[in-house]
Amino acid sequence: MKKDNFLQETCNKTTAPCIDKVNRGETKVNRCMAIEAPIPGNGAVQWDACIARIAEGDKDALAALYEETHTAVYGFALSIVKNAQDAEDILQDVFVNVFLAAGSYRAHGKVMAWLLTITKNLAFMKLRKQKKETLMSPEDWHTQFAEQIDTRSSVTREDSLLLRTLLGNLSDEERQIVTLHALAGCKHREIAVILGIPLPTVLSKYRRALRKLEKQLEEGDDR
Amino acid sequence: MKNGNWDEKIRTAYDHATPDVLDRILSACEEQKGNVIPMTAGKHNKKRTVSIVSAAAAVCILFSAAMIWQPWNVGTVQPENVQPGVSQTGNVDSIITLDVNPSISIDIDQEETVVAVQALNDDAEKVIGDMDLQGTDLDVTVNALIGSMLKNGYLDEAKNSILVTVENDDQARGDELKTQITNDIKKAFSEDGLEAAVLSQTLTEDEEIDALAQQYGISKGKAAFIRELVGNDTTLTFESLAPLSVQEIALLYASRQSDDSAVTQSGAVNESSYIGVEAAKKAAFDHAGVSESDVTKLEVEYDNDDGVMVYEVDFHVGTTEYDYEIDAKTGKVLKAEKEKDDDMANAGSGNTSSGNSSSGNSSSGNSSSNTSSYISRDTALQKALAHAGVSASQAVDVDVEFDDGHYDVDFRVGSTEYDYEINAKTGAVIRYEKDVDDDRQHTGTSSSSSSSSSSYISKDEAKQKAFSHAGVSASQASGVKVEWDDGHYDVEFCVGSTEYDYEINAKTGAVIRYEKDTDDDHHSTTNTSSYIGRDAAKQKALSHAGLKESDVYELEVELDEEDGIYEVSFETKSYEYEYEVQATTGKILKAEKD
Repeated sequence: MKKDNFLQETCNKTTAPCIDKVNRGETKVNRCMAIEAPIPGNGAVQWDACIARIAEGDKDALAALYEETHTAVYGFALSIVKNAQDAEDILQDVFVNVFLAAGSYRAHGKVMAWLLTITKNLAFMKLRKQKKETLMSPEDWHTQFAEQIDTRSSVTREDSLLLRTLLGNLSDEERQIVTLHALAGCKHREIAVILGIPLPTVLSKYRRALRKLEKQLEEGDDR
Repeated sequence: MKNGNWDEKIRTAYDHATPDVLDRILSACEEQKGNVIPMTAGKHNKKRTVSIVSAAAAVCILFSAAMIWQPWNVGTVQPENVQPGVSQTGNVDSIITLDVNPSISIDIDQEETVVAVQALNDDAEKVIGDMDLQGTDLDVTVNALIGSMLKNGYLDEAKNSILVTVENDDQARGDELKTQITNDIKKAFSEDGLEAAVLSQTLTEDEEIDALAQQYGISKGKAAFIRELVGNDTTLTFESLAPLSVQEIALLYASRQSDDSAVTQSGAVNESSYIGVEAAKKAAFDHAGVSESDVTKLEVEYDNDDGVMVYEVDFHVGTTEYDYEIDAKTGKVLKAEKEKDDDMANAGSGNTSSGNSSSGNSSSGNSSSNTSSYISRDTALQKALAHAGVSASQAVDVDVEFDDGHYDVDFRVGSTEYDYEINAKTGAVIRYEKDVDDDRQHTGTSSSSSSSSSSYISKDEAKQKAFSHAGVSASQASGVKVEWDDGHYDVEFCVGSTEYDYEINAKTGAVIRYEKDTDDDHHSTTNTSSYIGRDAAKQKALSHAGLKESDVYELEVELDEEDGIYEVSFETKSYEYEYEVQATTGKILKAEKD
């Protein structure tokens, strides 16, 4: 009985008339719990419908979702594992996972939160696996960063400095909070849910993180 | 540098640094679709290949394909615990997984000889210990593992649920093994004078299950079980069930069992850790002030709310619908909802099943939910109305809901929606939201967006509008963020520990909606009574720095509940100080001067 209702609901959702195409203006905004941006090149369909299409094996829908969200997924993964190669692997695994598990997506209207949860789980799995390995020394870390990030042609000196500061000078939680706020457009309350830490802690860590960034980068500029 | 720029700068930096792996993803997905990987033949060999590949992690397509193929190889498995099969033991015929909280997989060949035993999580490592089970018969291995789980306290009288999953492409063979193992487990339990609840299922190749197992770091068996449960009850989510033990999931399952389930249950799930259905009913009825004889459409089932096992007690008295959540261990009322059924607008979702008051053990749980110290619903409503400056006669669609120490009060005046959180003890307004409806761009109304941006106000103007409405100056606000969002600006900022969230009409500059969220009422579950307190922590840090409170500015004390640490930070003209003070002892754990 319940199952029938559910199926019906799902169908209705999938075939629901498209919401009018939204003009997002100059900034691309990813709303954390409810991204409602249109899928480019295919009129306007809600992201939930996009997931439904991915569940049917639609690769264009997967590509559209990827286009809109991959920076947030990569950034969040990097903010946890602090290793560009691992973050890249996670980025790939997240979307392959989405492709295979889209049929089980239940978090209606919360695509971004869903993606970030998958990212978090895969990233922590990776960390757990590496737990027994030795920690990288700061020198190794900077070498690795230079090899993995600085070599990308699109990365400017300013980008590199900012990312180094993010990864090197902030605590894990501070970095994750700042990243989720900037990339996924999450509100502090939503970040608290995703990371499982109290809202006041999120707020204070966010503020402290910005202060640290400011200070660090000003010093960097002086040099 | 202004705070508002950070989001943009960070976004740009990440945008530039993020590699494009879409092609690799698509071709990896192609592999998944195209290749049906044979399940039975040479499975064991395949597994071993995987570990090698994942170690190299270089061939990306293969890597991800392999991960999906055998999720736990890259997940929770500790490779050193694998007892690798030797070739003479033959090929793997079936994989059996036992889930309790420890998750263990057993590979067997056609003769039911154990080829390998793998720990799928840390608890499982303890259970296996240094037992060498390779080459023994399946029943011996099952007996040994169950014995060890009983000995280590993972299973006992109250925790008696085990999930058995048999992976074999031959359904009949799988079912046969399933029955056999169930009996083995029940026998092992009865040797200790206990009764087991064995849930068993067979599993054939299923990519979705593999992906889910990998996502949540659980075994395929547990993933399949949860999917079964979630598929039958959409109020449950995979995410909330994944961290639960099999005992907890089994209770949820048992209280809402459907006929055509793929999972077989043998033996009753022990409920003695919980107060029981009768006590839960009583707690709800007492709180509502009704007697059972007045009640219709009673439904009681287990649910899980953020990791807490609860009884969901729903019933009607006349046309009023009640919806309760009772803590299954303490009997405390966690949620109480009362709704008059007058406007039966929502057709379709009617309750078809009625009066299913399953006969639970009527243990006399002391379910005295201490609600006497709470203000009444009416008082809560009055507080909200007074705060909003509206009279009771103006408000329509009034809904007052009790939720874990506060009341949620919702009502509408004209096209404005109000949403309050009222402290149930003090009547103070914890949070409120006011939502003017005219800008709703929800379904139905087709507002074709002709965006002539020239008539819009600027971001700065929007920011100023929000500031002046909130009565704060630009210098007080931190973390300011202004974003364009379909015809309006989203303006967010913080002042102290208060978070503001505005929606400003991009044409008129009018405040569409605003939200003010003060955090000091955040109720934590941590017991902080043994802590030294913020003031003492502050003093510890200041005296360590050799400063007086009047010497410093930007003084902040935060309690990190997880670690039990007070984080104290302050600044002087020349330095920035950061301290970590142990909350219980007042010991200074970290001192930083910058």
